[in-house]
Amino acid sequence: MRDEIIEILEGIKSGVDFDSITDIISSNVLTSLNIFTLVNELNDEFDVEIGADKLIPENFESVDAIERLITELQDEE
Amino acid sequence: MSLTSMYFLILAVLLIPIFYLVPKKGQWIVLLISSVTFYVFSGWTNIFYVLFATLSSFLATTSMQKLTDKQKKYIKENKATLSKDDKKLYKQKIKSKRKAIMLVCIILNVCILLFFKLYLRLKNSINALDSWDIIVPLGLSYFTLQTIGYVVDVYWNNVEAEKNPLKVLLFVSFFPQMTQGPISDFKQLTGELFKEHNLTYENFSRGFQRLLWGYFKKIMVATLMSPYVSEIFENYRDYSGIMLFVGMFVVMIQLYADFSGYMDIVCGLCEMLDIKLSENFNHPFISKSLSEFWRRWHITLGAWFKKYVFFTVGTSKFAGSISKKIKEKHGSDAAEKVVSTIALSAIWISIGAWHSLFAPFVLWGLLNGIIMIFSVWMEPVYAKTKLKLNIKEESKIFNLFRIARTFALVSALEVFSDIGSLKDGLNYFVKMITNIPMGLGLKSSFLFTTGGTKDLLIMAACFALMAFVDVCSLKCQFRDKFNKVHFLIRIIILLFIFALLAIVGIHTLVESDGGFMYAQF
Repeated sequence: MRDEIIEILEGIKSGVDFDSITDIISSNVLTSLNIFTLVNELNDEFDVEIGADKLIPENFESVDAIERLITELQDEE
Repeated sequence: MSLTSMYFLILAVLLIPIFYLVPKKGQWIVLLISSVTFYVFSGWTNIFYVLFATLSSFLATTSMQKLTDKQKKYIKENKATLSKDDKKLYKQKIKSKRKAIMLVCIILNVCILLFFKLYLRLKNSINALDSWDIIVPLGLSYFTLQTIGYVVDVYWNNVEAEKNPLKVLLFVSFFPQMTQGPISDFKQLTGELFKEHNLTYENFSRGFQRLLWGYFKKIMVATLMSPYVSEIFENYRDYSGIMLFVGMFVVMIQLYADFSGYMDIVCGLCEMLDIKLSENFNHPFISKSLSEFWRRWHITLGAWFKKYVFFTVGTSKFAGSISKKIKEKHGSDAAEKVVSTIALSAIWISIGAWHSLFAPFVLWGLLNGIIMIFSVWMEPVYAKTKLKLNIKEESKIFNLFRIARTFALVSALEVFSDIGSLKDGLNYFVKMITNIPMGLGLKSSFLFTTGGTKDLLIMAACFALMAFVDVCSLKCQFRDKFNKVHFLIRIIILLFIFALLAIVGIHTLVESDGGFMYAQF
């Protein structure tokens, strides 16, 4: 799952070391407009539904956080 | 009841000692009684709308909570026998019930808000409505958004429903923030309201300083500026382009002094009560873009619409399916721009309508949206131009240009909402651009007699002081520095401001209505 998430992130913004970065949102690496693309791609890739309620910075600050969010949503299904 | 009225001051003076004298567990009840008193004194009919918002949100949130608890219990009890599909089906059934409850509550509250917005809009154009004199509930636009936010947060399981209806009533009606915000988040505000509060010298003195500073901004800058702004805007045809150009910035500064002054009064009073409210301003005039400006100006309004409208639209199934189709044909960059356009349109139409359904406000909202959408689509062109002209992102001159451009843009947009009609707004700009060589204009002498030269000089000095404090607080908390000054000097400065407010300020407040500009929404 981790590799797929990194691939999606690199497709949105290239030249960033997403594997180690832990402040994707707070350091403005991704804007709120980029988040829409990220959410749509994650929904497609992992067959989940990320709603507006999950759009809090903590869920998108790092690849680990995104992975946790996807796992949580898959478990809820 | 305005925050500049004597009633408000009496209420605040009575509230503070009682608040700290009662047992700590009962402090929130003192706040509740004060809020209800504030509402009753502001027009007793107001309380019905507050009670409706409270009751509807209380019933909706507790019903949703019961369904959530029921779901948890059912799944726990039948863990062994339920298949994955059964579990999913049951969850969906509960979710759709909760969604229906949330929607009914939102629709009811939005309908009341829309009714009053429409009433105000139609009253001016339909004569038959003249005899139908309804008092628009105080702070309706603010407590409606706050209530809806709470209901959605419970639906999203971000917070648990409050079981005590009186606590919900205090959340909806907390009086200092009711007329102009801030629009608070349930978790943040209730965390502050229902904790035990201790009287400390630091909170009390810092709160009082901020409260006094708020009155200074409101009375000595905004209210003193008011006759000049009204004079220029009401008689703009008689002034030269240069005066109209200056007037455009003055109205923005007046609005800032008025609105941020209100926020300082409210936050100052709350700090004296050991209650921390969300901030609504963060040096808006250093913004380098319109979107940054909206993250620094009326922060809680922007945050509310971003959380509940912008994100909801941007992540909706509708936006998702459009994004998918466009991505297949034109790539992910185009898909992102289209989804952003949809979400930005939704947020700015909503913000414009929330302010008012009058054409200048709707246009003001649309123009904000159009500019932001335009900058999303033009981003590659900007990047290429910067590269061609060798402009560096961190260049001081370039950033100063961006700050000046943003200030001019927000000031120009403000003209539309302040002048009252679309036609006058457009005429104002035509006159401003085409009438440049006319000197100060036919009526410029009126500016010096409107409030008197003395008032003009006092206002200019007070504005300079406000600007100085704002610039200083860019680097550090101004109050921290102020509190390091010798005690006696601090007392003398505070007494001087107090005396200034009492001597110069009172007559200007009596002459004006004393109300705050943003309270009209």
